[in-house]
Amino acid sequence: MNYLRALHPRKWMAMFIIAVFITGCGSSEPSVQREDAVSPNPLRITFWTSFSGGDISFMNELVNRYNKENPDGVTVMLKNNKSDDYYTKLSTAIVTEEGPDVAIVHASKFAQFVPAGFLDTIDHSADDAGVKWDQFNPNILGRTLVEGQHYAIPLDTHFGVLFYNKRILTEAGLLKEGEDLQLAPGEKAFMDFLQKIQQQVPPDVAPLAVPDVRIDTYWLWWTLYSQQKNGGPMYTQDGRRAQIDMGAARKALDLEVTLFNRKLIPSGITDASQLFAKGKAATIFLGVWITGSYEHVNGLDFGVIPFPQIYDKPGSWGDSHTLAFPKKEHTDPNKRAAAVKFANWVAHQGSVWAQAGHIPAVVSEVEADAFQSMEYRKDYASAANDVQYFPSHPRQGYVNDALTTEFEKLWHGKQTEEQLLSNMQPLINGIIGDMEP
Amino acid sequence: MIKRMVETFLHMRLASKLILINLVLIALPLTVTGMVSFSGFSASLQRTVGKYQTDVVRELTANLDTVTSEVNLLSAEPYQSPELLKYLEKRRQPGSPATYEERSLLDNFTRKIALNGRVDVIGVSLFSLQGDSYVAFTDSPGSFYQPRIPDQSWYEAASRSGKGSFIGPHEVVSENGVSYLVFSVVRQIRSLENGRTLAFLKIDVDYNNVKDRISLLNGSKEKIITITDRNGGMVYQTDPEPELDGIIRGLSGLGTVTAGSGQTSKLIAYYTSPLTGWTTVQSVPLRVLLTDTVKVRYIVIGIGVLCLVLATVLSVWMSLWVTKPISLLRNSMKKVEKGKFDEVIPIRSRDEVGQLGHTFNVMVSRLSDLTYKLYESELREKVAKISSLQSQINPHFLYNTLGSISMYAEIGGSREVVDMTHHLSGLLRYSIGNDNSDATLEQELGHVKGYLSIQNIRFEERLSYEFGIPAELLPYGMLRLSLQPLVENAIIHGLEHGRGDVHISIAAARKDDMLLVTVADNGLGMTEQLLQALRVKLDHAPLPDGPGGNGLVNVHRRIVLRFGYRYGLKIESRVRVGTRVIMKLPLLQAANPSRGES
Repeated sequence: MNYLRALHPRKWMAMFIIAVFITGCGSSEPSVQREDAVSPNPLRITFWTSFSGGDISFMNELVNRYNKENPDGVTVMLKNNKSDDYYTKLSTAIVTEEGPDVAIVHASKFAQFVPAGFLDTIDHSADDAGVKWDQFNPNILGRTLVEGQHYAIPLDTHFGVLFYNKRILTEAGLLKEGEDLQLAPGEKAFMDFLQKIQQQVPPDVAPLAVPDVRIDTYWLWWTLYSQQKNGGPMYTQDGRRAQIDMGAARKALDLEVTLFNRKLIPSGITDASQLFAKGKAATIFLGVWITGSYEHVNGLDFGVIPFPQIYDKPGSWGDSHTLAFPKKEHTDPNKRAAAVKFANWVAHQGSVWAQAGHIPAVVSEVEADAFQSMEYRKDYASAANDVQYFPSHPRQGYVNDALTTEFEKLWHGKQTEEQLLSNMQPLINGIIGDMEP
Repeated sequence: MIKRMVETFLHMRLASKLILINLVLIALPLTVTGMVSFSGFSASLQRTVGKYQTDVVRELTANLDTVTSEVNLLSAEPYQSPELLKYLEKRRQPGSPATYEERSLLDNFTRKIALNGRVDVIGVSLFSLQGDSYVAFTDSPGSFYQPRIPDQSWYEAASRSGKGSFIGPHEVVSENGVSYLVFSVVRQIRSLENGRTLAFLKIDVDYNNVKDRISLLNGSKEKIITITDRNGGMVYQTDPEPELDGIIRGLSGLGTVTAGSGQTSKLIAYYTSPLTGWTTVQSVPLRVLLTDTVKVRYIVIGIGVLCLVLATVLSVWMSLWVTKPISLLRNSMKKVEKGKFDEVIPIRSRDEVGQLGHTFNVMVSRLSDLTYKLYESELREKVAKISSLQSQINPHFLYNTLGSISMYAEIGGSREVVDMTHHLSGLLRYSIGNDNSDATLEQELGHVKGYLSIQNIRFEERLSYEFGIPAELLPYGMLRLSLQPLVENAIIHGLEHGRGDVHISIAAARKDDMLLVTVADNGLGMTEQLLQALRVKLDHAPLPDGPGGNGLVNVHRRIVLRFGYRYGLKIESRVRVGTRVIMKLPLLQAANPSRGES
């Protein structure tokens, strides 16, 4: 106050003039809007998937979360595709340079896509994006490695398991209230189990539900074939000729035929998963991805166990979702880096992705409380180590398609079991015979 | 420097200060605002024009791309035909005849492309890497042939990518020998299974498709549109523009460039189509685009100058309007300071300045009153004192006594005593008389003569005197008893304090409207210091209380009090030369001056 008073009026005047100058100059600043010729272009990466059912909603959730949370301003554009034509579409897009930046590719596709030059290795970008390969389940990671190079970030593994309806089994006296199903290994135990069900349940309830169309019976055959000591191989070492252990193949097919013949698997099931959901099937052989859907079915009291060991070793058909990176003429390194970073992030969101039913490929995600506290998943998580992938062969897809058709023909009386077995290797040879060395 | 400027500013006249401040406050922001907003405007206009031009070329490119993307889509057609892919994957021997199915497959495929109904396809060529290639022109049936694929001009560009690769205008000759000007898209066809390159599909489209579209879109003759391919090759140009060729061929991406300078400078906007890799370039003379800026510049400057002039006039007027009454007040105050109490400021408004003026007027009139009252009371006091003195002396007793003395002297034969008593009696009668009215110069002179006669008797020949009074001045009025003290002063200082003789000369003169009465002696005179002290004393010394000693001061004050500061006594003196006292008086026509007591 004293200081203010001490100021001479002239000084006040001078200060006022200065103040007017300053504000005058300030207010005369025109409101010109700056227009940046090049606005900071947010990085958009395209992501193709081929999910169905519950899977896609969980992936949508993840992508939305990533778009909201990632600090790099990257936007991921998710496009889900019909699974039937997915790989044709993806490969066409890749050869016409229209491919996405990152795509879901099954591990079983690598044997074809990598030699065809459809995918890029990501060893270099992965280091920059902070991908730590030792965090992944080696069994799953091994499927994405070709000649020592990483071609993808494994997302999960999924495989066939046995779901059972607790209510039906309890009513059939095969399960005590509050208990989980325990199945002894061996063919006999399995057959006895199904026969007991058949005796106890109404005729419209299937003891084991497997649709006799599409690939499911072929998956079951592959599971049974690969559980045997000599089972598993389909080709010679060089992959040029078919080489199936016919004894094991026959044994596996025999069991399937028996199940159908004894109506332990009723014929004519087209939508087995729906049948089980409605409580019209005691058990079902299906992939783990349905777990997430069954959880939300009202009134469905179910349990799940790994597919039982019927022959020499445990195992079940399975495959892995991986996030792979289509090759392009000009790959934008920023986009690639962003895509790898995104893929690595998705792989580490095991707690969300596992809600669909899959087993995360990142080991720590499986060990995490979030996963372990989830019902059902832990009941089959251990089976991830026994997954029986189809052989790595560039034309495995064609072989699978052809054999699926052969199986459909069998169940619909278009050919006998003998015919199928004798035609198996010639058919495969026909598919792979003209391959370039 | 700044200090001096501030100093200068502080000492300026109030009006100048106000004008300066107003000008700074108005002109500076106005100029700055005008300049900044104009430069902002012209920059933003240039930007807008640039942006508009890039939008135009984008539009143009997009329009062109509706054709090219159609062709591009057609070139991906093989992937929609698994049979064709299968045929292409099959190992075939060059020159080996095709089967009927193969021929019809190729025929159907090329026909499907040619008859797309949207673009004018001239020819379709399928360059197969294994086995024969197949070419079909719309005017002739398809045929097999064996070109060397790596020798094709498009091979390098097309084999790099799975995208359609666009080739600028070139001629093709059909099987019928007809030549066509076409542009083409070539696409590498790869196996979906193993990724191997199987073939190249080349689709030739009528070049007029491109030309028509651009010439339709380009309205103005001033604008020149050029389309270049990836390598700077000319695809299309509406008018030749050789001077810009070098610049245009190097452009790619999206943006604008200004080429040339002055009147001939051109704005070049360009955009490279991500599909074809062709760059659409449009060049327009800048003067065409910026005609508006020039207009706006003149308007802005015009308005600015007008505002400035208006503001200057207004600020000058306002400053004067504010400061004029203050100057008036100041001038009036100066006058009052000099003693002019009749100063009145005209009051024109009731604002602060008006109130100030009013207060000033009231103050001055009060001051004037007070001064007057002060002098009046001083005077009254004096008069009272004199009256009391007069009342103490009984003049009749004195006169009678003096009469008796005179009588006895006459009887005794003493002529001098008779004269002295006679003069003394005259002096007394003039001085003590109760007549307070003004006297004339003549009366005063008479009084002084009587006084001098007495003194002459006292000092004999040491005192001599003379009168130089023109007769016409005699009737003018004077203050009573104002001349005698001057003469007395000369006698006291010349004879009583000195030793030698003294000559006193009394003169009167008229100067303009003034009566000057001078009493000069040749006495001791005064030093400059003494003189100065006396002059100060005249104006400022307190009025003497008692009689004597202060005759000059008394006389001076009376004159000033009566007639104002213009009048009074003026003293000149030089040591050993003498002193001269000049009495300044107004010319007063004493119409009926009293003759004193008879």
